[in-house]
Amino acid sequence: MQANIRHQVSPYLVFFIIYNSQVGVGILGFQRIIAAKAGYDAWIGVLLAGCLVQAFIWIAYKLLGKADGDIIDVHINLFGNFLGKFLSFFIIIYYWLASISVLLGFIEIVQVWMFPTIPSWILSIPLLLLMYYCVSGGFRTIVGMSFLSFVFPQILLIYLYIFPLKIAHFANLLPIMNHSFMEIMDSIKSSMYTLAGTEALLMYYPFIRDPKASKKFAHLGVLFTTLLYTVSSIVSFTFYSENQLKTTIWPELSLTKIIKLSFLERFEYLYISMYLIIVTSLLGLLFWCSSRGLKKIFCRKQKYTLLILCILSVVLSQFITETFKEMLDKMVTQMNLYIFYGYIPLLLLVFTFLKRGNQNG
Amino acid sequence: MVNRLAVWLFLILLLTGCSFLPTNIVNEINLIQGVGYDLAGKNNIKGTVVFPIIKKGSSYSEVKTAFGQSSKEIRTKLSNETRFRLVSGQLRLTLYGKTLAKQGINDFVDTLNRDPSIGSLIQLAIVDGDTNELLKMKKYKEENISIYLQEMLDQNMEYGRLPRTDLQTFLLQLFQIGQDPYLPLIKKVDHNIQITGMAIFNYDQYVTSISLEELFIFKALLDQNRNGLNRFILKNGDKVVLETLNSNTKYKVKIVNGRPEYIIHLKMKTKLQEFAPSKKKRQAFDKKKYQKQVEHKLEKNALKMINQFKNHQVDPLGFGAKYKEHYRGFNEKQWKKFYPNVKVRVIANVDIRQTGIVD
Repeated sequence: MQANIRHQVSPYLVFFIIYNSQVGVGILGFQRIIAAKAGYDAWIGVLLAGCLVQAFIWIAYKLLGKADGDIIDVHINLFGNFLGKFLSFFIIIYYWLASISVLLGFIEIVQVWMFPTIPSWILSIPLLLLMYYCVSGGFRTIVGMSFLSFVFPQILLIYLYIFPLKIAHFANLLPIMNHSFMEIMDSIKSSMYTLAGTEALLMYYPFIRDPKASKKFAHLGVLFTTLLYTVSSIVSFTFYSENQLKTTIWPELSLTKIIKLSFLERFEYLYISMYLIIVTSLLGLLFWCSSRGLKKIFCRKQKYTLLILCILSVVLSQFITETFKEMLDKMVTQMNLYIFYGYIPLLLLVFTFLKRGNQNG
Repeated sequence: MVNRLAVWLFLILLLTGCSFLPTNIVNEINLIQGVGYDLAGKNNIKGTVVFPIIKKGSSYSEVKTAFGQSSKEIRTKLSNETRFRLVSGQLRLTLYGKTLAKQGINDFVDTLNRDPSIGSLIQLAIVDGDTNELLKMKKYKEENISIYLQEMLDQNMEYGRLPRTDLQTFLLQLFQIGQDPYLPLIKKVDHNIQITGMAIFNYDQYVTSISLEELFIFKALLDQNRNGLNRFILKNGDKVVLETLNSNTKYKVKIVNGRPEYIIHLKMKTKLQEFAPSKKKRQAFDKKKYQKQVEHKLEKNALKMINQFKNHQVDPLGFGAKYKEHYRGFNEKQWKKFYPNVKVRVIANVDIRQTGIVD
């Protein structure tokens, strides 16, 4: 069930949507997390995790192509109205939790790096207002934001990587493959949180004009982000010594501390402020997915579901504690792994099997 | 219409949120640019901060001193006597007294590392003597001493004999397995401040130092030699001053029975700057002969310095880290046992490319 052509976007724009959905606040701190067990071999884990995401894209396209709709249509098609909506509800909850996790991550960074005394709601309310404004413009506005969030950061990223690479210790990476298979597996698992985001495809698929043509752009998008994450981790690994990295909470943000331009000494202020664009567009995409899902499940207007989600998010971001935040991140990672890399491939199998049965019958 | 008005009102209300943001108005804060720490009795630290006072017509740097147990405690005490709040976002230089450095400076570096407002490019240095005395020098009262020292160190790292050090390199070396940090050593000599050598640490404790003369070879071994002059006094008293045009150092690591052996290849392309034969008589420069002699001298000096490091159990050249890169079974404890007896060979290769416009 395709959306109205007025709301659809060109296939090549999928590249930017994929990029936007994958790059969030995770890139600022994932280097330390992946290196926890696998040490400086962890960049291999990022590449392997990228392969997994490519596989997921392939599966998602197969599944949605067969059903010709979003994941809710697939569920309803398979399990009927009630059970289908019930199962979809979990995925919608995942989108919402993921966006909360991004929101909280960003608020924490602003509080630690820029304004230590600022209360959370001062940041979350304007951010969510901006996001609400984007989402109310429809899916095409969100894609526009995705495009912007791709273009702006690239300019700064080049700066951010050139400075540390000038004094990089590439010997840090040696000896390569000095860790066991299980340790590399662990780095794959922890890379999945930062590489997560492609699952939004399950919701916006009907909004792509000519989905078949868009497939290669989706794969390209994932390839781009995987390479970006690999480069980012290698830059951090060559810049910090291993034990130093393990003490640094946001390695990529700390990189900005060595950038000194004659007209600007504190690069991180620029960098964190710029992250507002990335975070807004990512939140926009995730909130769009969850509010559209709720709209379809409960047959209410998207305006209202979005508003409810926003209010809940503000309340949650205000009362959240450090331990709960860690739990939330962990939960999102687990849910992402089990739902999209366990359940969805199974669903594809079941769907293919049942559909063939129907045709035969 | 009413709806839209409500939205506007709400947005205006939101603006009150701006008052929650802390502001730093530049003439209502005191920007600390340099700090110094000395040991003062048991467990007591004397802290000195330098911040500029900028006024129309005359500007000078103000130096304040306080005692305390930790650097932030000292800052709190100091704000009792300053007109404005002290902030550290413009910090450029931190000095540590030698006696304090002997006890370890990790606690002081930790706060620099932890504070997001402090850049990673600030200079750290060890003072042979009292940092307070050095920062209080009358001569630099009008001039900004922190910026003066920072630029002095920067300049010497870029063009002189000092290898590159700053907060980032110090932290990197501090945390690196199989490497020890080093920082420049400065001293107040009469009415001047001079760089006198390099302080070598064991983890965060000052252990030994190398002199200014040895810095040339130290920088060469770190593969950071870009350009610099060095004088060699050779066998029969001939003096040769060479300017490095291009220098390249390679470490070859051989593992024999799990123990490392190093061969250091020092390759230098140089230019003759000054030549004073002992016979006080002008003679043509015999390239081959002097290349050999300079090579020999370099090898001897390098080995002497490496032996000094081995005797003090410090590893500023990162032999351990290189061992770790080449050997999968690396074990830190075992390496510590190997280190004093590790085999190192230095092979220098000096190529005197140009002799100027005379032969």
